[in-house]
Amino acid sequence: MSAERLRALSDDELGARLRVVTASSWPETPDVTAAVTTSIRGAERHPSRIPLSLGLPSRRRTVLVIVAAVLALAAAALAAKLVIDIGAVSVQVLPGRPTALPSVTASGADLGRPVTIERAAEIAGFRPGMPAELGPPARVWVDRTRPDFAPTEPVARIAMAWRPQPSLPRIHGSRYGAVLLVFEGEGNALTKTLFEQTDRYGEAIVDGRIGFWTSGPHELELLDPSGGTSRFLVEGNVLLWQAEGLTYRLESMLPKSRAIHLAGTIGPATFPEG
Amino acid sequence: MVTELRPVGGRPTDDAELAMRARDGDVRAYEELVARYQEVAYRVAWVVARGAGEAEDAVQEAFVKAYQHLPRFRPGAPFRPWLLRIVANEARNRARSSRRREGLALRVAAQPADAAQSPEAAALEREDAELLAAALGRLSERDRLVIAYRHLFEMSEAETAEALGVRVGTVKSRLSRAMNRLRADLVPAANTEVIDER
Repeated sequence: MSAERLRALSDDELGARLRVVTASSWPETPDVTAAVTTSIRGAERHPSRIPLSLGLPSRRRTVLVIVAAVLALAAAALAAKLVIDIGAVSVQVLPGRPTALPSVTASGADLGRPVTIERAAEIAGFRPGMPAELGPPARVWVDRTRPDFAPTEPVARIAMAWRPQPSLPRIHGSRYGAVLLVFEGEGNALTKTLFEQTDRYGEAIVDGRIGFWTSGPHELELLDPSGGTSRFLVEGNVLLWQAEGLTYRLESMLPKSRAIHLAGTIGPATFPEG
Repeated sequence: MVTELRPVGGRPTDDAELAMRARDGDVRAYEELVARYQEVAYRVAWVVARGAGEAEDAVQEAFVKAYQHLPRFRPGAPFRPWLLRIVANEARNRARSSRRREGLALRVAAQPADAAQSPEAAALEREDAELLAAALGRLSERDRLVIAYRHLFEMSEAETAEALGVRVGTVKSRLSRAMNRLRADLVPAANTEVIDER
């Protein structure tokens, strides 16, 4: 009987048998070259890619001018695609409006392992500062993995969430009032996709450092614990900035000025490993 | 019509050079990489998504995404596992949001016998093919992928580790467990059904 004979084979023999009997079984490979090239050329008609990973005060004015210029150009050129890197976060702004956004928002399981802040700091190798106004977070998650696009560069991420408070309204589609993600490293751990016609965005200054602000429903592609990525819907307002080699992402329903104020109350991070 | 799987040999120097040229905006260089790897990319997507439509969409999107992320590609690193990691992830995302599934066994059952084989050999080949493809189709995506990388696409342990984003030691242990599960699942087709993972 075939099953018994196959079971008796070694791993290598069984693998070889599998290779032989499936060799002629693959579906014909479609040629995607033209479609890929068309997509790439279409996106490249107005290439714009600017790094925002500059926190030095002496460069602030230059960066502000560059950011303002590029954002103005992007707003004028509706066919343009704008890509902005802010540390571990990449923001791409697409022309038009979304044809389909993900239907689910990120939940706790998507953010990593639930742990205490002490354990999170131990695993991640850093302890982020807390927003002084909000007190200790209700939940903390940690993840340490490798992004798809930087195979040798591990990324540590700590996520913290606070329950709604009188001055902190609940984020649409979430049980929390504020969610703070803190990334270590420059590997692409999170990609946000915004749309010209439905989202508002622009620069923001957090504690003297250049940052990025957006409001309106958009897509978030988040590195998951297995090293892959998952797509989620974001309905809150988001503030992104960098400090001390970390990238911060604060999501809330607060208006821009309140979010910037809250971010400014976050204390310095500590790095126990030196 | 079917195509025969050709192991895609590593051409690190050529790949690296093409990747660097593509990173600098040479779309023709990237076309060469697409042409070189679209077959193995499509098969990886098919192993993960198990649907021809999803696999084609995933491969197309993955190539575009890989191009956009070439500035983050480490110079000198092997291109194929880096690309396949993006492909598998894209296929996984599409499989999650799709209800369409095609069992691997269905494709094998549709293959004609080789005219050069004796009737007995052809029957044996067909029986093995049905058993193995059905068992492979019932494995988890994780098991399918490690078996596919090592045994179907004949990738090295190092390349497989890079494509899966794990250590080489993990590839060995994961493959060993996957092969044991494959072996345990070798039961006649009449006693089985294709199981939806979700």
